[in-house]
Amino acid sequence: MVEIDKSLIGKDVLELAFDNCIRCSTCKYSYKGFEPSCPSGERFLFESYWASGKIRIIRGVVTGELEWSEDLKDAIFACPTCGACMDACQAPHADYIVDMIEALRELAVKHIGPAKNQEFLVSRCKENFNPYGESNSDNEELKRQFDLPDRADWVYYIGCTSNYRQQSLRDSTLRFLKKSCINFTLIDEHCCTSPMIRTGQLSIVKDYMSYNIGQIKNTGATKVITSCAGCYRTFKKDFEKFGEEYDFEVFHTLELVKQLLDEGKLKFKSEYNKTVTYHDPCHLGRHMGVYELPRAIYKQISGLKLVEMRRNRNFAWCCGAGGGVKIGYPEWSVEISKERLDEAKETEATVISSVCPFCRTNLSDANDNYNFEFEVLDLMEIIDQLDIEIEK
Amino acid sequence: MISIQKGEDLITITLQNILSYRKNDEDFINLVLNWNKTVLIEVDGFYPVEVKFDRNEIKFKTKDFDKKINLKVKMDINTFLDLAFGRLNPVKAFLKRKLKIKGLLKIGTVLKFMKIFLETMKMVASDPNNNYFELNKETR
Amino acid sequence: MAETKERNLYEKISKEDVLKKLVEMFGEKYVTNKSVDLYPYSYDMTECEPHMPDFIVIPENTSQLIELVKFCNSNLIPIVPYISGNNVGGLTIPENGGILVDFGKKMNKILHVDDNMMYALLEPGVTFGQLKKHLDENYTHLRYSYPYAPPYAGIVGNVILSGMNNLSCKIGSMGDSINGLEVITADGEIARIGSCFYGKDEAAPDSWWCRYPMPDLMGIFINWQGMTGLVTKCAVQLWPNPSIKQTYIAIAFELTDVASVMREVGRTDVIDDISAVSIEVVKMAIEIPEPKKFPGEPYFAVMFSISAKTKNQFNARMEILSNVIENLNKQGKKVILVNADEYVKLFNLRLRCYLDLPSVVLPLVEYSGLTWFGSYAPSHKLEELIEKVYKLFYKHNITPFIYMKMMKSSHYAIFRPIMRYNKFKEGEEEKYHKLLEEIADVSIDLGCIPYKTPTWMTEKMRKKINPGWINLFEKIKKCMDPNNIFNPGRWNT
Repeated sequence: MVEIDKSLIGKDVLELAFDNCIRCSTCKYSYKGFEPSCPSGERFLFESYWASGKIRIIRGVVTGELEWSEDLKDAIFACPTCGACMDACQAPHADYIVDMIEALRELAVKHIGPAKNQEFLVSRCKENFNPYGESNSDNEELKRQFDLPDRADWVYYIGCTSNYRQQSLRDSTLRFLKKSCINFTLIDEHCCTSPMIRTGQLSIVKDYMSYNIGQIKNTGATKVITSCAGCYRTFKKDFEKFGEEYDFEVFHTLELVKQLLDEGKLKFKSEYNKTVTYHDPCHLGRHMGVYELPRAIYKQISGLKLVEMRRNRNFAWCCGAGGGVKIGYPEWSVEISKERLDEAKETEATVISSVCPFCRTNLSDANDNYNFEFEVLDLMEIIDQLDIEIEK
Repeated sequence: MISIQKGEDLITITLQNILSYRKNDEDFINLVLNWNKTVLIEVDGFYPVEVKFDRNEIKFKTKDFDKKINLKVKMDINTFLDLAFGRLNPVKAFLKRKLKIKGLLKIGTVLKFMKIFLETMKMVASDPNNNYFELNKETR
Repeated sequence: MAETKERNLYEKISKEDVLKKLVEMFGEKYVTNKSVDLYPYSYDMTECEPHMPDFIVIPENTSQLIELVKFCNSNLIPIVPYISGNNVGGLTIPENGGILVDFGKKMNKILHVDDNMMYALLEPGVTFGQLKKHLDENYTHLRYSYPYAPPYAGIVGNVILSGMNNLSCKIGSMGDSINGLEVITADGEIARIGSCFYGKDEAAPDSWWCRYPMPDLMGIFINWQGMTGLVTKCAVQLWPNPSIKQTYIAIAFELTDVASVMREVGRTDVIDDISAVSIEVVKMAIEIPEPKKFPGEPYFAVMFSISAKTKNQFNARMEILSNVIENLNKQGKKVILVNADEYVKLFNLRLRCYLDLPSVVLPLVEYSGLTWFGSYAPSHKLEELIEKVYKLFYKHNITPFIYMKMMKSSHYAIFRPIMRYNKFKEGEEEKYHKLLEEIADVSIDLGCIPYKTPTWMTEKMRKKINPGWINLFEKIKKCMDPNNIFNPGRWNT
C-alpha cells in the first residue's frame, strides 16, 4: 500500500478507494431503472468521467502511475457530485463515492489547483465571506426589517445563495417563519463552506465552520433552520467530518412545515391551481435521504396537482449546479439543467419546484436560456402565495 | 432494544433474519425481554440450533447446548415455509405430525414461542418488499 | 504499470499524425490520448498485467470504423474493442498498445426488435439492463436471458464469447443464439453474416432471423476475442416470456451429489436454468466476507429456474422435478427441494441478487479484484472436478467459491471456480493467481475448456491442443488479419 499524505482530510477515504471498485459499471446508470444518471459520464463519455474512473484516477495519482498535470483537471472537477453513482453502486464502498471524489479534489488542489474559476470561490470568500463576492451582509438590516431579536431559540441560517441570489426564496421563508410560532433570529453568516468542500479547497473551511458555530452560540439558539439543501447537508454531515462539533439541532424548513401540518397548527386556506413537478435536490435527496417529506407537503396544498418526472427521488437527474460545476463549467451546468427541464416538460407541469436555492438558480437559468416557459419556484415561495393560518 | 446474535450458518442466519425484522418493535420487545427461555429448533436434514432468550439478548448455538432446554421444535424446511406463508397453521401442522414439539405441556411457553417466532415469520413472509436494493435505503 | 509490448508502432506514422487523423474521423470530443483518460482502460479486475492504450476513440457509426480499420491496417496499429470491460480475462487490456475502441458509449442502440421472428438487432454497446428495460416497456411477451454479470455488461460481448445465461439449460451457450453479425474485416470491407446476407447494400431490418444454412462464416468471429475483425451489429434471439416464473433450490449435502442433481434435472428438459453455487457463496451474498461451511451444512445449493404458460404446465414440471429429487434421495443422496422465492424472503433478501437478473451479483463486487477459471466442462467429470478443486482451495486456505451450470439439457456443463481478492494488497494477487493456475492445470487435464481466456491460460491450452487445430487457427487468423492489428496477443498470436 502506498503512503497517502497524512495531512489530507480525505486520507482515509483515499485509502478506501484503493482496494475497492471492480469497475462493474453499475455506477453509470440508475440501478434497476436503467436510466442515464451520471451527468459527467453522459457528457464526456470516457471512463475517467464516471465514478469508477475517478476511483481509478485516485489509484493512479497516489501510486504515481498518473502524473499530475492540467490534463487531469476536467476528469477530476467536471462532476456535480450529485451522488447518483452512490445510489446506483451496490458495492460496500458505495456510500463513500462522493467523499472519494471530494478527497481526490483535495489532493488535486494541492498539486495542480482547482478547475478554472473555482479559485474565485475562496478568493471572494476571503474578501466578503461569500462565494458570490457580494458585500457581506451581517443580516442586521433583515433583522430590523423583520423585527427579530438578538437572542432566540432558533437561528434561520439563510445561506449565501438565498441571501445574495434568491432573495425571493429568502424573504418567503422569513415571512413564513414570522407567521409560525417559532422564535428565531439571524446571524452574521460566513459561507457554510459547501462550495469549498465540493471543490477540494479546504483552507478556510474549519475557520468558517467555527465562526458560524460561534455566531449561533451567541444567540443562545438550540435549533438552526435553513431553506438551502446544500447548507443543510453541510451542517449535518460535513461539520462532523471536519471535527466541528455543535450542540444545536439542524432542520430544513420543510421539516418545520411538515411538523406544523401534522400537528394541525398550519392550514393552507387558499388553493394553488397549478400542475407542479418536484425536482429532488441532490443534497437533500440522495445525500440526506429526504424524498417523501416535500411531496407530503405539496399534496396538502389544495388545487395543486403534483406530477412526477420520469427520473425522480433517488433516480433524479441533477440540476447541474453543484460540485463546483456552476462556476467551473458554466455552459455545461446549464445544459444539465436543460435536460431536467426537458424531462419536466414531459409531465405537462407549468411549475417546476424544488427546495434548494442553487437548484432554483440553475433551473431558472436553463429556463431562460432555452426558452422553456416554466415558473421555477421554491416550495416556500409557493406557500408564500397561499393564505395560511398558523396557530401560535 | 433487543440484541440478536449474528448468525454464520444457514439456519442461524435464517432465524436471525426473521427475529431481527421486529427487533425495534415494542410489542416484540415486550414479548422477548426477560423471557429467559431456551428453545431447540431442528430442521430435518440440518443440525439443531439452540435459541436462547436471555434478558434482552437472543443468542444461537449449534453445539454444546444448555442442559435445560424448555422447548424442542422439529419440522422440515417445507413445513417451515408453509407455516410462514400461511398455507398451514401450527395446530394442523402438529396434528399432521409435520410439526413436532417436546415440552408441549408447558403450554404458556409454546404459545409465547409461537407469538415470538411464528407471527414474526409470517410478517417477514408477507412484507411486500422483494427488492434487496431497497433495504435501508432511507439515509446515507 | 507494465510497459506496453512494443511493436514498433508509430514508425510509419507519428503519434501526432495519428491523433490528427483520429480527430478527423471521430471528432475532437470522441478522441483522447490524455493519460488520465487512458489510465482507467489500462487494467481490469483480474490479475492480468495492465497496459496503457495509446488512444481511445468513441465511434458513432460503422463508416467511422471502416475508415479506422483501413487506417490501422495500413499503419500497423492495433485495435482493441471495448464495451464495459467486465470480462474476467483481460480481453480489453491493450497488451500491444494501439487504439481502444469504446463501443459502450455511443454505438449502443437497439436497432430493431422483431416480434414475429423474436430477435433483437443490436449495436455492440447495448447492455443487459438496457435491453431488459426496452423489453419490459415495449415487448412484455418477449424475454432475453441474463448472466451473473452486472447489468451494464455488454450483450454482444457475452454472445460472441459464448457466455452462459439464465436460459442456458434450455438454449445452451449464448454463442448459439446469434442470428446474424455485421463485421468489418482487416481490409475495411463490411460483411453481413447469416440470413441478413441478402441485399447488396443494406439488410432489411426483418432479415436477421437465422444463422443458417449458408456456409457458416459466423464461427470466424465467435470466441475469437476480437482477433478477426470488428463486430458492428449483432442479432440475438429472444424468447417467449411465460407468465409463470419461479425458482426452486435443491440443497445438496454431500460434496459431489450436486453433480448428479444437475445432470438428472437437466435431462428432464423442463428447466430453463440450472445454476449451482457452493454454500459459501450463499453466505457471501449476505456480507459474511470469509464464510465457512459448518458441519451438517450442505455443500451446494442448486437453483432451478422454471417457467410455464399455465398452472397445469407448471405443476407438471414441478412434478417431474420433484420425482427426480425423490429418486435421488432413494439412491441415498441427501437432497432437499425448496421454493427459492419463499426461502430467500426468510433467509435474506440479498440473495435475490442471484434470482432477479440482470443484477449486480453482490459477492462479485465486494473486493477490488476478481478472477476465475471459467470453463465449459464435460458434465460426467464434474464429481472429479469438484473434489480436486475443493482440495486446492483448502490447500491455499482460500474460501471455496464454485459456480456451475448445466447447459442445454445436460449436454455439457459450466465449471467456474471464482476468486475475489484485494487487488492492491501486497502478495494477494500472486497468492490467488497461484491457486488459479493450479485449478487451471487440474481442470484442463480433465477436459475443461476455458472461455474468455487470458493469454497465460491459452499458453497452457496450446500445449494440449492438437497441432491440426492450432495450424488451422493460425492460418485463419493470418488470413483474416495479416498485419495482426485486431486485438493482437490474444491466444498468444
